[in-house]
Amino acid sequence: MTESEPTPAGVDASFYDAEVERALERYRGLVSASDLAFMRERLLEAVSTGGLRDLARRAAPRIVDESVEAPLSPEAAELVRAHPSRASAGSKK
Amino acid sequence: MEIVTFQARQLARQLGRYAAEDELVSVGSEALVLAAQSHDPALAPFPPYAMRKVRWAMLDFARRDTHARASVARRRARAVLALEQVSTPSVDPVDATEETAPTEEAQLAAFRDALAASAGALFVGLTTSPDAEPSSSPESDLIRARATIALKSALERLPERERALIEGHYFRGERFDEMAETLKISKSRVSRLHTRALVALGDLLKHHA
Repeated sequence: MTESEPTPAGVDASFYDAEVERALERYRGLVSASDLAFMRERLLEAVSTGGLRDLARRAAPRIVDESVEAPLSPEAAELVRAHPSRASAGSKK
Repeated sequence: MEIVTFQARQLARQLGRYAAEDELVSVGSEALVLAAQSHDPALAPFPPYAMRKVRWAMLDFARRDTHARASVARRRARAVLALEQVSTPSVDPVDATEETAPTEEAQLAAFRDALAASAGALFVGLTTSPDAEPSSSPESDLIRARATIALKSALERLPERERALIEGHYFRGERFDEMAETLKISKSRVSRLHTRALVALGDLLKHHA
């Protein structure tokens, strides 16, 4: 995906890329390289911001965050950096 | 006016900068005035209505622009217009219950069909354009000839009504509302048939790729 075509949160960008390549596969050899690039751009645009966006979001596998650790706020992260021993002592309680 | 400049910038980028942004702004401004005059608030809110009218006016202009430098823009405008005519199924049926809600497989299949129809629309739009490619060469001429033969061969294997629809729209320039009248079906039905025909065409073209 290009910078101008943002991936919706929680969706793996490679899913869109792979699906677009799959749709274009049958046209290889039937259109020139520049036309194929034009088709790819328009399809990526359609799935990320255009008419296919909602269908694409529904079909895309979601990225599940399996981490059990909650992210620290910037202030908390600063405290941990400043006092690592206190942080590890706290986690043992 | 922001609608007009935004659409002009976006379309100029989509057409590969072969269409002049200031000309698109000029065409879009006229379309915005006409949209304001023809808008019926009881039927649709103004912003999406105006956006659609402005965009179609710009695409129509790019498709018909007779400047020599605009041949690439004409081809691409034709393809983008075809892409925007692909109908997509509703993703959220209002009467869906937990039991009748589409499965993950059904959602993926619906997305793939819509994507296949969109790719088909771009291909048919480019291939049926009377304009040549930007840099014509023996190789690109060969590819174009191969694409035309593959498309005609695939068309012959489409069901009669779908073939008539694709030929009428792309080869003879008939509009969906005109075809709806001829075929005695609604315009939305024509739109769905068009999308289905493009999916079927793509499947038939697999053997030529």
